[in-house]
Amino acid sequence: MIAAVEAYIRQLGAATSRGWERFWFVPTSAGSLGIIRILAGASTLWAIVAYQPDLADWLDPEGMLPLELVRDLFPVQWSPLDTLPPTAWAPFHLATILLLALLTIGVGGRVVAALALVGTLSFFHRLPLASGRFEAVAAMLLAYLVLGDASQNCAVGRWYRNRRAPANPTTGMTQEQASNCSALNTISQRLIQLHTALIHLMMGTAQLAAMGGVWYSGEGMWLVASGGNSLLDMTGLEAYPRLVALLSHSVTLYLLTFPLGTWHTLWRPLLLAWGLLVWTMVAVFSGDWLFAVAMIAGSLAQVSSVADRPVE
Amino acid sequence: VPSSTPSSDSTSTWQTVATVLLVVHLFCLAIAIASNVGGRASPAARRLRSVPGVIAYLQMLGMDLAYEFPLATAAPNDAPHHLELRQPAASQTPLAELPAPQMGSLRRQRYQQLAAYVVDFDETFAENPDLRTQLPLAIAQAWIKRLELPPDRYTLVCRQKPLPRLETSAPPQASRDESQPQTPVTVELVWSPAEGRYQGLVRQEAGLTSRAVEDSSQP
Repeated sequence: MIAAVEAYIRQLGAATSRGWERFWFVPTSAGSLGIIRILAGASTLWAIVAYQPDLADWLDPEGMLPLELVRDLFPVQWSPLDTLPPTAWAPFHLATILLLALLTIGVGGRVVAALALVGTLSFFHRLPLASGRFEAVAAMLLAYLVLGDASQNCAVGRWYRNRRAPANPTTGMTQEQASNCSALNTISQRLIQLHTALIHLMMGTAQLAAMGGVWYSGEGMWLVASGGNSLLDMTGLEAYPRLVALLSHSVTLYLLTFPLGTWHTLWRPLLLAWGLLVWTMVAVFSGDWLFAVAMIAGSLAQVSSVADRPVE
Repeated sequence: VPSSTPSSDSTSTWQTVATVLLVVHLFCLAIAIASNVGGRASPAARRLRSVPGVIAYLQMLGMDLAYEFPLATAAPNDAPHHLELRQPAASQTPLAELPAPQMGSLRRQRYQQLAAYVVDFDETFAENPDLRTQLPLAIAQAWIKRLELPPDRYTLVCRQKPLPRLETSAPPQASRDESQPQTPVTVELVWSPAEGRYQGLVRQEAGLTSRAVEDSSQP
């Protein structure tokens, strides 16, 4: 009996170890990291550029968010902007914009990705009272993109070098792409997958717990559209409460289904298509299109193309 | 994805280190979620936040949150907020509004969020006058400076737009009451020539009570 238990434990340990290795450490190409890099980089670039008109108003010691006030409220956070003199704010802002632009087009690899992350987080940490859900998702994506070399795919320099190189008919990759397969790409992609699934789950459960039961009653998307920032005039929806309820329930159902269903290869394309519709709808209704783009980018980590497969 | 068995010792060492780092990261992430979940945070996770380095690591990466973004609720604080700068002696029309109507969606959302924090802190720090008025005073002073207004008496009002509810969805009456807009937060600003800055009076319910508070610059 004891021998059987020991054998079972050994078998369980070995299987867990193999599963862990398969999940995290099988070398892959950048795959969908390239698309994620473009979406996350471009949306963050836009968010950082949008600080420009209010930069002095936000950062000045006599501005709306003086450093003393922010650090009273968020004592653990720190930003390089805390120590920079006011004359350095504009160059720092410009440098962050340039780094994000380079990241978006896929130049500079991990070094540019890391510097863009530092620059971006500097603004998010200095201005937490002006940061919201987009900033939370963007920080996650940029942090994980530093691990993998996302500039191997959908990148200007890489495209230029690869355009004449013949692709392997089996793997779909050129020789250079094949040589760039790395476990770090896998880790980066897996972390984005897990974190995005977690965000979906937390959003879904938050909707179930939302005050007033507005997502149970089907009123959720109406309230989203009533925030005053929707991209289209949604007032006409008031006449179609059943349609609003259908849309609201589809959002909640998607958020709760994605974290589990997306790991199943047959469900994945369906959930990704559903997610594209849901996030587009959220962007139009709420006007928070940056958040929607960031969530689409995170969801795309589940896309496993032929190019993601390792070299045999 | 086909499996690949590592053969060399260096690969094995690298994977062991990476495994430890991944486990630590995922553990920190679990602490962030479990300790920040609104209303039902795990006491164990709250205790684990005191482990040295955990909070610093999570906040450095911007991951110290529970990602509870319901997109919309019937909570009063979820309604869009805006700020008005008024001159008490002048007409009812505000001198300026934030977010301004011509602002793009992202700037608009940022100022709406800032205004929501004014209301949030007014409730959270109701017993701490310094913290309660620090943010509205900073906003008002910067705003007055930006508009190049002369030293005078001004009023900063933080209002929220009531969310229109769908009649046919008929939520329970209690929920409807909860969604009613809150009383605007009103801060009266008085220029102090001696201090060279404004002092604030928070007026919680317009015309009924007012509470003198110290200048936010005082420690």
